[in-house]
Amino acid sequence: MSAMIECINLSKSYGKKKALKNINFEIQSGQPIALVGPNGAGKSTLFGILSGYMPATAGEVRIFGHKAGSPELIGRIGALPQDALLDPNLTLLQQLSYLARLQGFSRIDSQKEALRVLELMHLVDVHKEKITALSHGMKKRVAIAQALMGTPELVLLDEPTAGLDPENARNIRQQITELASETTFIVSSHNLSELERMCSQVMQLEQGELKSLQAIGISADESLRSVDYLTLRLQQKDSEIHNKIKQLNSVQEVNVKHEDEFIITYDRRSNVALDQDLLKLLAAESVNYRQIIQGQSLEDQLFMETHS
Amino acid sequence: MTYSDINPMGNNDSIQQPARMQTWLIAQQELLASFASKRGLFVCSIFVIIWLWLLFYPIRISADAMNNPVGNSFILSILNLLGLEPLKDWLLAEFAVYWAVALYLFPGFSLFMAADQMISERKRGGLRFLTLRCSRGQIFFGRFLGHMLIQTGLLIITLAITYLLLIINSTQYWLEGLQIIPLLLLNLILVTSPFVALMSLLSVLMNSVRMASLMAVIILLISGVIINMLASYFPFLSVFHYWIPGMQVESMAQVTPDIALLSLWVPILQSVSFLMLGYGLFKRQAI
Repeated sequence: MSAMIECINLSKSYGKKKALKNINFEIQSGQPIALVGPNGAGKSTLFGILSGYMPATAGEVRIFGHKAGSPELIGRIGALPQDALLDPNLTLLQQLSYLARLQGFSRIDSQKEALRVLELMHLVDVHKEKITALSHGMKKRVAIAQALMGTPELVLLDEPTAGLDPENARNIRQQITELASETTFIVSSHNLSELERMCSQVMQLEQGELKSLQAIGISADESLRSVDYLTLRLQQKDSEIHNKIKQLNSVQEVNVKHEDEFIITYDRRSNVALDQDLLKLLAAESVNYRQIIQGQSLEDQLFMETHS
Repeated sequence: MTYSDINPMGNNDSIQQPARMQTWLIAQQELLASFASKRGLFVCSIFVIIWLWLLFYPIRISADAMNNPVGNSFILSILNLLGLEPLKDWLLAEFAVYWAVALYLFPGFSLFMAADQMISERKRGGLRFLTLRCSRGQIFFGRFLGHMLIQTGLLIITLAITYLLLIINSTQYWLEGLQIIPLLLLNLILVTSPFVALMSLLSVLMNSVRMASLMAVIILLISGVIINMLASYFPFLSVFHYWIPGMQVESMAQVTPDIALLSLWVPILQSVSFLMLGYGLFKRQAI
């Protein structure tokens, strides 16, 4: 099966500054993909090139087999560009209907489609407002709504929940999860726990270089594939318990993340029931726990492995 | 029923619009957006005020003078001074003066009306919403077409008012008036087009509307002087005069619209050149 996105030796420079350095990757359509990296890592530049907003300095990007920005991709990609605003002089309905008409909807259907996506973002009540009358979070949701129009095959969302209140951020996560069966989302965010809940793969950029592209929860390192993790959160700090956990069968390492949180690395093949052993140990030692999580967080996956 | 129940187009059956349809949609939206913006309304208000004044004072008074030369020698001598003596030979005095005024005013006005074809939108990132739905060519040429529609609409309005003045003053020429309107309209649309096309090009090159307008004025006023200076040393450089929009307007004002048609190849060539250059740049521009 040909890749949905194929990047070959992709580079982008702004003057002397290299924003992307010789990036190579392939992505298949399917579950949402997280794009992570610190500020200035090149996430928005990569989105910009994929969306056809800017040309690459070198290399090639193909989406659905076509060059990024080519007319064959019109209507197949939706995007939430960072800091882009609609026309301040027209109402939301006027503008979204216009965009829908450009996408091929009839005059009547374009209005229905505009209202449909506004409803997805809980914004139907303000469809007669102009963009200037809305709060920052509402403007962001309108921009996400336009990205969903016509149910494109690929949607690129650049920090979709940044600046949103928890309820609306949750709604956006929910929409992405619900629409993931028909649309492939690529989502950039600094909120790793949010990405962890939505995405199945993560692409990590750092200083313009692709550091890793891996499935969330599965190590990129082949030699670590039999290794599994348990994350233990205690109700109170306990400085002694981690030494006792180390004694349990199959435990290889116990990392103290905080004084009340441990990441337990163990060999899954030699003990599939470590969680039960751990519960028994905690009961025997009268240590109260808050959570035991199978696996490690995305944050730990990205940073513990890269720092080891 | 909620709106969520309606999704008339899934992702696998999206309908590709014919390219000309999308260009037309963009042109229509440009019309709507131009009149919805404060800037557009301001420029239009200025246009209406200037033209109402022109139509009811200079044009009407000059036309009266041309129809009744006796006692109006002062006004006729001003027309001579402006090099508009041939206008006196026109049968339709109102249209004769309108022709001379519109040839200069419409291009100048279009510079300011069409200055913001893309600049503000590019600055606020709005073009990014469009490029995923239509090609850059459709956006660029759609905007140009939208502004040409605005100019055409305004020309039709001013021509209609001038015709009204004509039939009030000289009812017997109602048919001749109707016959000359299409000829005037065609001439003035084509004369205005390189100015709008120049602003399309400058909309791509400049980062502010003010700078685009300023640059247009510099090109129109100063480039002629520079070319003259250079041509005095290198005569072959005088060919660059043909790239200055409106270079043929002075000669057009001396003749009737049917004769003026012969010089319209200049604005057509200029428009095509500016548009091709602007599109070539816009196609590669980061937005």
